Amino acid sequence: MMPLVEPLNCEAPPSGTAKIDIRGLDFFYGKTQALKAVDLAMPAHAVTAIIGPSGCGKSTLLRAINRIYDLYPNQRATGQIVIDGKNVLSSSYSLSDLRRCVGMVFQKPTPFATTIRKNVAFALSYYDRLTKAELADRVEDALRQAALWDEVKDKLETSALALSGGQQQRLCIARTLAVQPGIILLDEPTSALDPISTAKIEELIHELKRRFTIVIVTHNMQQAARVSQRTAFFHLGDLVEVGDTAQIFTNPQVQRTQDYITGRYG
Amino acid sequence: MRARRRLADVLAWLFATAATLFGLNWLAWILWTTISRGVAALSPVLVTQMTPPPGQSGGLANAFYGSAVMVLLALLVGTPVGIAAGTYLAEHGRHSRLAAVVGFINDILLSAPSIVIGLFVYEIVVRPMGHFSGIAGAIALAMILLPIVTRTTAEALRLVPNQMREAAFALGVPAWKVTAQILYKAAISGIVTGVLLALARIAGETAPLLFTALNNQFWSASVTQPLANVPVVIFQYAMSPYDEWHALAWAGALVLTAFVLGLNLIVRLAARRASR
Repeated sequence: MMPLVEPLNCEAPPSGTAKIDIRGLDFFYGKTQALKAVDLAMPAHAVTAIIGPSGCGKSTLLRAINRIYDLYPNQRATGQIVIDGKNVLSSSYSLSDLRRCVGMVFQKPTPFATTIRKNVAFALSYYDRLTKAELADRVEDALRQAALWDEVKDKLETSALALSGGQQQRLCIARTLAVQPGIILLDEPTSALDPISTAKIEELIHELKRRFTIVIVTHNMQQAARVSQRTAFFHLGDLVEVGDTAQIFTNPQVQRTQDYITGRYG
Repeated sequence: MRARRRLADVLAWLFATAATLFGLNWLAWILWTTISRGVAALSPVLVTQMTPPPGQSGGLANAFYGSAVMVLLALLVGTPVGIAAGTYLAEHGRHSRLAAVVGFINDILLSAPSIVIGLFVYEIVVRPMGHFSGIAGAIALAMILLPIVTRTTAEALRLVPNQMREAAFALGVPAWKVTAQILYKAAISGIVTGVLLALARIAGETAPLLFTALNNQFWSASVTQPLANVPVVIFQYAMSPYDEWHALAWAGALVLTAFVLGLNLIVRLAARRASR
């Protein structure tokens, strides 16, 4: 059993408060509003699942947390996203610090067109001055944490594009873990994978929550029920209901939530 | 009904085949003439001796040297600038008005007649210097190469899936590092293809060199002096009344064609390897 440790680069949240605290978040694509006044707190060292039908704003929420939307000039967020006591939406907050602390894994595996080793080492060599041996250790460590080391240890210098889809996705997770974030955002990480690869990733999520705070967007309600402790249900840009996963799936308080989880729409 | 369909099918097939053969015919004819006339004039002397005066034998050594120097200079100057401009268009300026304007102007430059570029360089370089020079020729060639490299670099970068860009930025790494280490790697085959195609294009350009490098009957290694080059030698010798000059022109044409053909083959092979 690994102990609960906060990775080096991220501060622990002030005790008794949430790791991520979203307050009054509005999000706009041009003039279209995709999220409306969302208030949502996510606890540390737990998996929070975001569920809801297509277009409800689940991915938008993730993209706001690490501000990846900043790449596009017509997208903007207002309100507050407080991580470890600081509002990361404020323009004075360094994007580099934010993204180092908040890793993200995307729906489709996105290996870089280079070797397996360089995929993992890419961001590391930017953040830390490491000797060759230290770098090799960090790469191995990240690949071990992503449960990929045994499969790739003999071919670190081969192209990452030659890996299977499931291995590529675990490589993307390793790449994210390598920079030692405190939070990991997973945007439908298994929707492009076969059932066996999906099971491996779910197992991995279960392991990782000891060290990391995890937010997972998923289309698959069984997956949300299997991997998460907290579940938030979104519909048309509104946060409809949030609670302990068991409660949301067995005893939802809002009719819309009940309709969705019983398959009436979505 | 069925007979009519079959007839239409056969007619369409015949037409398509005939059209293909018609087009290929000219290409094969050009290649055949170049090879059969050029091979006769190929000899080691070609690369050891200078272009001869009328009535004597000689080679094309000075012309090969001059062409190589000017093409290489143009490549060295034009490639980095073109790749940088293409990167700006596709990445750092992708949402800006300026990039849209630059892209449009680049497209105009891309389709500018090469003789106009020759005249332009004549005005800004040759006239102030007072004489023709290899450096003026290299500048003209670089101006032809630049928009091709810019355009192909931008296109190659635009083909990199946005997800890869987001995944790289999500690691918190700054834009220059994402571009240099992730995007260029993903787009490298497209960029190299563009550079090689631009190289093939400028190797055979004649019009811009007529106004800039002119020609030089003698050996001259200096780029500030008029410089011999293969296309202009071919032009002058083929127009002359002397048989020895005709033979040299054919030999030059053959070497030039083989060079361009070789480059195109390399591009094809590289592209096929990259797509695997």
